[in-house]
Formats: sequence, structure tokens, C-alpha cells
Amino acid sequence: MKDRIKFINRIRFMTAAFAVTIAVLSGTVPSYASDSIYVIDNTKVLSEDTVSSINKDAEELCSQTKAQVQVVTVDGSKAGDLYQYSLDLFREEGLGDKSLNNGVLIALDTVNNHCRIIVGNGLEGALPDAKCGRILDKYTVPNYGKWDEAAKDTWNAVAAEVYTESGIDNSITQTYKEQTDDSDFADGLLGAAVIIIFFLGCIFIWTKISKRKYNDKGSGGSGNDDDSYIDFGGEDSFGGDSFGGGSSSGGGAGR
Amino acid sequence: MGRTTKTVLIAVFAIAAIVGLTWFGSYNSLVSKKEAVTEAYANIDSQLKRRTDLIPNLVTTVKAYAKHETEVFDAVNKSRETMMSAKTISEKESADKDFTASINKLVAVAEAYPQLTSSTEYTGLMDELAGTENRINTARTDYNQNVKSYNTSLKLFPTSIIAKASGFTACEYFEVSESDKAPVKVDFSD
Repeated sequence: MKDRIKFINRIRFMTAAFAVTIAVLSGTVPSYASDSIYVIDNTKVLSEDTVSSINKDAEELCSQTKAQVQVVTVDGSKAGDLYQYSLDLFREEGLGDKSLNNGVLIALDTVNNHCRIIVGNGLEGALPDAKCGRILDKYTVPNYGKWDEAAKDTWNAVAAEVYTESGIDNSITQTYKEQTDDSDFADGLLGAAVIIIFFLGCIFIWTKISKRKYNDKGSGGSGNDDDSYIDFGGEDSFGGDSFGGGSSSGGGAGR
Repeated sequence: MGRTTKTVLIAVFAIAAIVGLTWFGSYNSLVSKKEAVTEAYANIDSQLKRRTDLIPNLVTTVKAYAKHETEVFDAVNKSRETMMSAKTISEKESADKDFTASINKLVAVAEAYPQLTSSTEYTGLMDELAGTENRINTARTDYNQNVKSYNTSLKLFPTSIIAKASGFTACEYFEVSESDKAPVKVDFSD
């Protein structure tokens, strides 16, 4: 009886191992390195330094914002349509926090020189399709063949937008954040600042004159500066060693 | 009360309990699946709306370079209005087909103007359009998967009995023609 049970368990194990092997070889399930969940280098084009650097930065990003940004290299000839492969992988893994849907997948087809960014629903404001396209044009497409640079720079550019969305400023945002043309807004702001300063100056002078005239204390004056600020996220530390169940509707861009 | 009577009563209660639990379980499952279909349909609607909102920007950008192509712009505007007024799934399918065809013609016109196609504004708009088309296709696929799951449940026994008694009816699939499966291809690769 015991021998029979052992035999059945062996058959079960071999069947499961066979099924997993077939799934991995068919390219439908990514092969994970045990400690690299934010980089899946299926085509083995990335150096160990790049993999560990992105993993480290991704864990930091996740702990501060709960966002999960993953890089995947893939052979497009085996994976089929890069958009569908990327979306299926994103949903299968559940990138990003379940309630915030703040995952991003960067897929690099290193054999056919294609790329795709898939964005979770919660980050579509920070990473609209047009911005994703510009990121790919600036950091990914020019680095086709130099996959370490392509992966690292694209990841940083995406992370910069995620950090900015959360109100965090750091070396990544300072280097990679997309500079928008704020010249009109800046001019308007300057004009408004001049008017406000002029107005405050008038009030200040008026109060000075009033004080001399009436010898009275506490007659108005400018209000206190408002030190209120908006505090974004980051209170809770996220595990960082598994994905949070986020989803995507397929937003992003491809080249 | 005799032993036989007791046994019969217990058996009746047990059967009633099993039937009751099955009934409630199946009913709740059908309600959940129907809600999933409704939600998926709403997602298609919001993506279709997103596209109709995007198109005027694209028309304005192309018009700046190709003012004389009035026939194409009129076709886009007309099909957009039809799209916005479509109510049922079959109306939306038909309107979507015409709208997609008119957008493809607009894109074809734009491609004749290299200065336009190389502009950042145009590239950005085309990325938004391609992204929206992908979202529409994904929303359709998700909707059809939910409809399949729901419609299958309606046919399985004993859920079919509960469905008929409770008034659940099958939902329509959102059919996609072959030409619509890859409507607007934006290819910036060399």
C-alpha cells in the first residue's frame, strides 16, 4: 500500500515537472531568477549589474510608492504579438497594488527590435500613451542592441514619472523626469507674483503710515504664510517580494 | 412518531436543504456573472467614448496641413456623431466599423505630409489613438469572456432551471469583423 502511494506521488511530481518545463520552454510562462522579480531576462542580454541595479531601485520604488515596474526581455518570434504577450504577462503576475493598479511592464523584444510599455489603470494619468511613446523614442529605440542602457534608462524614465506622481523628488526624477514646456505658465506665475508683491508692499506701507498716525499696535498686517503641504503616500512599507494583484486595460505605447 | 416517519422527514428536510442551497448558490453566481458582463460592457463604452473624444484633436492637427481634404474630415465627423448616438450593441458595432474606416482614411491622408507625421504633436496623438484601439480590443475581449462564462452558466443543469425561473436571459457578444481586429496600425519602426 505504501509503495503504491509512493509510486502515485512520483507520477504526479513527474507530470507536474513536465508540464512546467513545457510551459517555460513555450515561452508562455517567464522563467524567474529566484531573487530577480523586477527583471525577467528571458533572452539573457542583460548584465548581472543591470539586473541587480534595477531590482534594487525597483524595490526602493515599491517601498516608497507601492508601484511595481518590471522589465522583461523576450524573443518576439516565440512570444507572438508583443502587446498581447505583455498584457497577458502583466495580468498574470498582477503587477502593482491591487487597489492602486500602479504597475508598469516594460517589454523589450531583443530579437526583433520592438518594445512595449504596459501601464496599470492607476498610472494612466502619470504615464499617458503619448508620454510612454516619447520615453520609448528617447531611451529605448536609440539603444536597440545596447540592452543594458535600454533597460536601465527606460526603467529610470518610467520610475521618474511614478515618483513625480507621488510627489517625491530624487536623483532619478532630477535626471529623467520629462521637462514640459512651462514657459507660458511661468510667465503667468511671474506676473501674478509681481502683483501680489506690489499689493503686499502697499499694505505694508499703509500699516506703517497708520501706526505712526494712530500709535496703535496690531492693526492688521499680512497673514502668516500657509505652511500646509500635501503629503503623498509612503507611510506603509510594501513587502516588495511579490506582486500586488494590480491590473491594466492595455494602456501604454509600443515601437 | 414512528422510526420510518422520522427517517422520511429527515430525508425530506435534507433534500430541501440541498435544493435550497443549490438554488441560492446558483442564483448568486448568475447575479455575479451578470454584473461582470455589465461592468465589462461599461468598460467598452468608456473606451469608445475616449476614442470619440480624441478624434477632434487629430482632425484639427491634420487640418492644419491638409485643409482641402474636406470630404475626409466630414466623413470622420459624421461617423463620430453616429458613434456617439449608438445605443445597442449592434448599433455600436456598426457605428464602430464606419468610424474606424473613416479614421483610417484620415491617417492615410496625414501620411502624405511628412512634416505633419514627424511632428511631436501628431506622434503623440497617434500613440494615444493606438493605445485607445488596444484598450477597446482588450475591453471587447474581456466583455466577450464574461458573456461566454455567463451564457454557459445559463445552459448548464441545474442552473438552467433556476435561470429560467428567475428571468435571466443570454447576453449578446460584441462581434468584431476581421478588418476591425487591427484597425489603426501605428508603426514607427524602421
